[in-house]
Amino acid sequence: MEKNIDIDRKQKGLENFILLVLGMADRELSLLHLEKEVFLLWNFDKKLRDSLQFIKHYRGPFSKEIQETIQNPLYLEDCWIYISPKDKLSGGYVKLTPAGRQEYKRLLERVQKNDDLIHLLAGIKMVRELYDKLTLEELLLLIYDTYPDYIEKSEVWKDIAKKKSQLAISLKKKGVASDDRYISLIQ
Amino acid sequence: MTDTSPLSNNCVSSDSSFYIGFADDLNRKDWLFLFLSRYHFYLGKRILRELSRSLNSDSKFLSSIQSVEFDYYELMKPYFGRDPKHLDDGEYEAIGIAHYLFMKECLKYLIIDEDKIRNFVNKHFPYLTNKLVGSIGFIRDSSTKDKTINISCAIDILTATKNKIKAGKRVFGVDKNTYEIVVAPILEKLMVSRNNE
Repeated sequence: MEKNIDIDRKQKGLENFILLVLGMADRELSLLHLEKEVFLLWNFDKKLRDSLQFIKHYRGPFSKEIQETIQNPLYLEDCWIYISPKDKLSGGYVKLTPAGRQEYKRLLERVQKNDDLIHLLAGIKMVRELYDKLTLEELLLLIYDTYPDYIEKSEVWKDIAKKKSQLAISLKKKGVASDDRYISLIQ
Repeated sequence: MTDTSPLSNNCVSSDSSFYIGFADDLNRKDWLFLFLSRYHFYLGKRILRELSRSLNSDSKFLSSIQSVEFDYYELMKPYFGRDPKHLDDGEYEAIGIAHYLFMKECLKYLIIDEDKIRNFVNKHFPYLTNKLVGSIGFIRDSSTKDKTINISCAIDILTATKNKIKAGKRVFGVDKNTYEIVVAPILEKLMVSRNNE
């Protein structure tokens, strides 16, 4: 009984957390972007480790909990729409519904009363600003280069590696990669 | 005096050069403590590590600042990779802490002295641009806009800064090459303001 209550609490928390990520910048987001941005948040806020696990997977760090929650939420049923993928990288796309926007506003008001959660909100704001603008391949290149352990089970790394010069140039043009970072990416 | 209660819009995130400028370059901790008593300064462990022992082991200093435990650099790491030279980049921590204060709706200033980092903020976080100042700009705004320190005090600080720079030191990110652009016009304006008082 207690175990079920704990699972419910974690699932509700996870769905609320995903709503905060999606609501922070109201635009369509690929599941790949969502997974990698949450992975960075998971490294930033250790409390997220209670409800999320990340494993080495076909397209970098992957959390089954996020994928399942996006596709089949238990509590926030009408807050977002999942659009199935038509390519091999994105994992599909997710966007907020009008009901999701309303729920996000309500949740944000509650969250802003908790200081630790404001740090999480700040982190969410930063990752959405920094990584949403990257293409799927640019994002994967930065993640694999920064966390090389996650290359191990990758099915896409070889293709990314072949294109890394081109991707690094693009990252430099976007002002994402400095001269030093550009060199480290193409090495 | 300005309301400095924690809920007021009076919070500051700064890189280390602001603290180092007062404590080590000008050797005037009293001026630093004056600012710490007028604004709420937030800083994390990366910035603390960049400060000299005279400051980061000073109990008065530690009790005058708000300490942040979250490591914001983790969120920006893919932009910089695994190069260990970035591990102690306090400027990026200051940007993260500025986000926290922004979300709390109490960010007054983000103080960054290095041009490269200021460009990074303008490029990727444009909503922070109107909060972004250098140490010299912060001293100016404290005396002219916020009136949290008086103009004579600001003039004393900038005059001491000028003397150190003329002697070849780099203070608040300003050296002999940039003094005329960054410090001189502000010092001149402050002197005019004082004379008109």
